[in-house]
Amino acid sequence: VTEPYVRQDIWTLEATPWNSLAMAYALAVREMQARPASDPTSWVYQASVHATPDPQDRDDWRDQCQHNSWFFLPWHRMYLYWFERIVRAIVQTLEDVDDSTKDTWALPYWDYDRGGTNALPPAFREAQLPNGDDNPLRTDERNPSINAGGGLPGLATSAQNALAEMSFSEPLMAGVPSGFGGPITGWHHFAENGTTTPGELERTPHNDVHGLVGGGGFMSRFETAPLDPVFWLHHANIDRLWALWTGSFAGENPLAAAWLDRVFHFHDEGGQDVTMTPGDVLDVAADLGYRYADMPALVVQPEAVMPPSPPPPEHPAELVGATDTPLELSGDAATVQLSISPPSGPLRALAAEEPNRVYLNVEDIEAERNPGISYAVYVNVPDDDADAANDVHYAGNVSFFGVEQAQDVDRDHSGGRGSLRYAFDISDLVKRLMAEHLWDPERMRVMFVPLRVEAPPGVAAAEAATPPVRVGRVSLFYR
Amino acid sequence: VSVVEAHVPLRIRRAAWTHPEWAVALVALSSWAVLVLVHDAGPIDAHAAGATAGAHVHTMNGMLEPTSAHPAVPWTVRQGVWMLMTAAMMLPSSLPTVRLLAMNSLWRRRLRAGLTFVVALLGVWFVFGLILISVATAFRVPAGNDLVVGTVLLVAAGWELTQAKRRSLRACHRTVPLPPCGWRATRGCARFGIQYGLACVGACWALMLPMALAGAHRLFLMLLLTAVVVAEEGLERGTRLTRVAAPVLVGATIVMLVG
Repeated sequence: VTEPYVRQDIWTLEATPWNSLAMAYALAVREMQARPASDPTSWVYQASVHATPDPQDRDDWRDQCQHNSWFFLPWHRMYLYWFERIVRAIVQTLEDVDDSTKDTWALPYWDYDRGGTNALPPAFREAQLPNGDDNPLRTDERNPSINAGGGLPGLATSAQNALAEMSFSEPLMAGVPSGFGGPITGWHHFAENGTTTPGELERTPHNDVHGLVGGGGFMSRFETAPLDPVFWLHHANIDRLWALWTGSFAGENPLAAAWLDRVFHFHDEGGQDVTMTPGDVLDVAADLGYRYADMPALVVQPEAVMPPSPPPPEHPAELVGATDTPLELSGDAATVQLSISPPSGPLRALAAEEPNRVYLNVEDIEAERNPGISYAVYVNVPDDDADAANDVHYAGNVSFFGVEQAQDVDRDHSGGRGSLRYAFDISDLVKRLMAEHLWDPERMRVMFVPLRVEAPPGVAAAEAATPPVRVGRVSLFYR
Repeated sequence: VSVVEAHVPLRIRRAAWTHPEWAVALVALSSWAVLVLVHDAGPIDAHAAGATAGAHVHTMNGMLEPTSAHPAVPWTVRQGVWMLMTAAMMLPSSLPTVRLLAMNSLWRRRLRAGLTFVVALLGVWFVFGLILISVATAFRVPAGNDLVVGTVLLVAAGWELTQAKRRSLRACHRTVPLPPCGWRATRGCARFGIQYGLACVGACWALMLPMALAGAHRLFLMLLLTAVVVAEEGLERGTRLTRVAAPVLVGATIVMLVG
């Protein structure tokens, strides 16, 4: 039996930027960048597999990225697998790479949530390779602070909420969060329905890290994100978190044929067409021949990690309150207030005293471009609470990866829906607020607090203007 | 819970909870029913059609050509028939959007929200129909002429292949912020309906041209064109179906002219 390749945490490798693994990656990226865009194993082509700058360029292989969908995790797992094989094949031809690295090279991952690892790995910040050549892992199409060693904010990198989610997918239903892996959709994710929201893991840390690292540059947009070499390490971490969820957290993947058997096209290292389905990639070691270096075995019973809660009712969620004017966010904290009507639908008909679930929605989010920051969302922070980042009131993050494409009527990918939407399950938070007498249905307040890349050590925080974002509606649903 | 609602079995109430678009589906079905019934009706006296005294006998079928310049068919009837056809053909593909709108409205406003949206949407088609029928009547475009209908079907087939058609199809998925209550809520639903209606006219204006002129093939064309619209707007990557729709429309033209 062949030993699986091991995807390593890049921050655990040698402290100097140029460990053998990062060096081999840099040289392979340079080789891919030198290949013509028409070559399926080239850097530009591989980026276009995610999304193409020109919408007319799409085909069965390009412009295929899956977001706001239950295909988000399996599609990106396949995408990384074939990319890794292309890079490995190139690494094995490079004269400057030692034999051990040639034999074992696997895509590293960037675990930004381990403490002290929230800055971009050094090899991606260096201007030059050790021999003085330009560093292909560095791009100026990033947030300048992240390139200077600034750290990602903790709320943007935490997968804690995502890993605590028990359901992989939820059917599309207005107001209802879509589960760990994203809503049940077809290929046409953004446009299928105005209620599609990203899954928990896609929302945070995935979307946040895209926006914050990109800062309006490559990582901020669908069609340019994979041009930044750190894209692949970010997604390796997201893939690791999925493997962690199904492993240590005993999360269950969908069993539906519509999910398992969906066919996606890629190119292998020889440039040949290959197809894969989510059902082909469920076990990374057995199916794909790799594992993650840091993958704790199941150490506790899942019940101890996630106390079982009753499943949500089957009936639709009911809108009980919403703002009636849009809110513009321009980089400062902002608060909106909404009043809540008593439910008059299923909850009333079923004589339920309290909602089983409470969902906060941030809807119709529009922007000319990704502002490169996230906003943490809080509920009913007391006026005298000086600490805006009071976790007791924290609901989740809103970020803007894909905001440009959502409005693009020239693309099937976005479908022209025009906006993004986020849904948060705040049932436990509301119960807590009720117990602490901080819940007034007449006066629910939702606060948005900007999350930025921390200033690099020894550098004053830059005061660049933040491009505005418009939130069409903030709403509350009971179920 | 209202007294009426309390007598409805929970199973049916649950279905209505999940499908608040049922009322709009009912409007579409009713429009189909009226059009089929009238289509099947035999010759009638002009008086029954609301025409002026002295008009000669014609058929209900003939009356259903909105662009017919026949003096016995008043403007209101032509426009009414146009709206029936629009409701029958355009509302089915709008049902997911109506559902989305209702699900994002306060529970007590779900029905009102959906109907406001539909009135606004049909209002856009009313204006388009008014212009279309006036122009066709002014230029004395003959109604019920297979050659003319075939020609406009080919125009529709050509439109299917344009980028503008695909853009309009995608724009049908655009959402708007919906204030929860009061006049702002009504205005929001109306704005959503107008926005959707404009995108819908952009996507389907060419498909509705033959309907203004169709004669004996009307029901056949209605079924075919409604299926095209529902598939393009409702199916996954429906915009790609425009490439299939174009040859289907050319085929329909050939069948109509030869058959």
